Amino acid sequence: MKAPRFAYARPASVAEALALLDKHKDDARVLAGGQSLVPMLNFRVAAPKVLVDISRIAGLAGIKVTKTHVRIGALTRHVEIERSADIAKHLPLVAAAMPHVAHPAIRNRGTFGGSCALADPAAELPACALALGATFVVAGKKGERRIAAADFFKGLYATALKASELLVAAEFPLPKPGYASAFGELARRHGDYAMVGLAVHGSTQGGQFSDLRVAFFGVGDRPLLAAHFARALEGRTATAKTIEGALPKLDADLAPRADLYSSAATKLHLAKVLAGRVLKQLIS
Amino acid sequence: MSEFDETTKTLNFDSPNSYVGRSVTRPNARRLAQGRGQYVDDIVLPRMVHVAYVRSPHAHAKIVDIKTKKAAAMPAR
Amino acid sequence: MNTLLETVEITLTVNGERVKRSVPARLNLADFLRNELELTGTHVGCEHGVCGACTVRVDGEIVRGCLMFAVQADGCEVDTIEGLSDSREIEELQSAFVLTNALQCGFCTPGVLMAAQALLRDEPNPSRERIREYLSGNYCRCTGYQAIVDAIEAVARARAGRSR
Repeated sequence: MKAPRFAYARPASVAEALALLDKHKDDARVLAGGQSLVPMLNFRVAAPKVLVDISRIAGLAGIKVTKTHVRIGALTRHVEIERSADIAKHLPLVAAAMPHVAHPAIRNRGTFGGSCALADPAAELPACALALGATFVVAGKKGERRIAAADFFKGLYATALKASELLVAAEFPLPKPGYASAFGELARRHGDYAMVGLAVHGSTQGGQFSDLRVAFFGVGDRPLLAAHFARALEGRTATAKTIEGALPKLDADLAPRADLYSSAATKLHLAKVLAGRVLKQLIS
Repeated sequence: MSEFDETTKTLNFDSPNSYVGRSVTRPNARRLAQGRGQYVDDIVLPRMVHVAYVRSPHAHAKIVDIKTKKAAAMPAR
Repeated sequence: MNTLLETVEITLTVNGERVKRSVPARLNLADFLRNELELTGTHVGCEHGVCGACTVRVDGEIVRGCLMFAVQADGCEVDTIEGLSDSREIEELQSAFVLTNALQCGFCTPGVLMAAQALLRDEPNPSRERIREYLSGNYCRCTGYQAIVDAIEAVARARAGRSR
């Protein structure tokens, strides 16, 4: 189907964009890469009266490494992150996730900020942000505020972003020494939405698991940290046996609902299988 | 298919069984690979009409009236 | 541009030619190319980005024509299958596709060729598995993909053979 009619604006600055969002409130939606928004318009599940195209605003794209963190601008295209040597070096978890994000043609347009602001429950980047303890930088009329990833994802397509706010960047703390990460995703075909996925970051120093952040996606209405599972592994020796022993704890962490492809029981089962594989990757 | 016989140096036009055992490329393949196919949506004819389906918003209902005044008032092009 | 417009004037380059048009904001790039510019080689399949039939190149990178509005292509360089064909950029790939019979109805083919060219530009020596992975965003209902992979692999080999 074709997109419905809308009025198009292309602000040149964050201030202009915020003014437009503030003026039109729920009638307006932000257009960045459009790889999730445009399908919604084409399906007519969204019909915003105003599209605010922020893609030409300078200063919102780019990857910057500082002494303490990696800052990813909201307008950074997925392909830039995928090809970035800085990301491969400092945020290997994100680098591992990128090839799973849709398809090359989609990654050439889709943006980091768009993915996080939409918060699709099957998206890879929100789970990575959660696993790595990233902080989202949000611009509003009153200035900038920072929101921790753990507080950002509120529910199905719901984030802590207010209607007149704009996500401008995310800051990922540089991994500490002794920390490793691993990523895994199960999809029917490469590039499909995940049936279940997992982003893990934690310490394996001294052959022991510690400070594990195990972020599942595709099994709830938002990315979820498997706290019981992580606690069961805390301080234990980092072996395949320990991992397998802890898998039943996922029953307490995950309560997936059935979807188009699998029943709830199947999803839970797949989550455990994937957790086993990914955690073993972490220690190999 | 025509062929030139190297040994006898003769031309065979449409010799029998000349397709057997050979790989034959499709005559339209090159054109299609250039994006020059003519699929239904590619065809444009003068004064061609377009159709848009208006579907019932109700699962089970009786059509009492179809209002066409607004649609008829729209410009043709 | 802070004003709200339902119709927008855009200037862009399509297959090396400068184009200036006034377009509805809601018109997507694929429909713009097909209907405004009569470049019907780009095809519309699913209209939500998964089938790949609408794949075109914008500023050197492949994108989904159905997921971009024409207004977003303002100031951009767009290449379609017609341009890549006429410039002979993908001549080898096209010949390979014909010889290996990598197309039947041909509907997916322009998109597949655009993707194949993008892959070989970035990875001159992809494995068969990598080719398959890269093409998972292009749906083909006719061929079963085997001949497509054969064709792309053969072209990669031929190019590698020449550059020694």
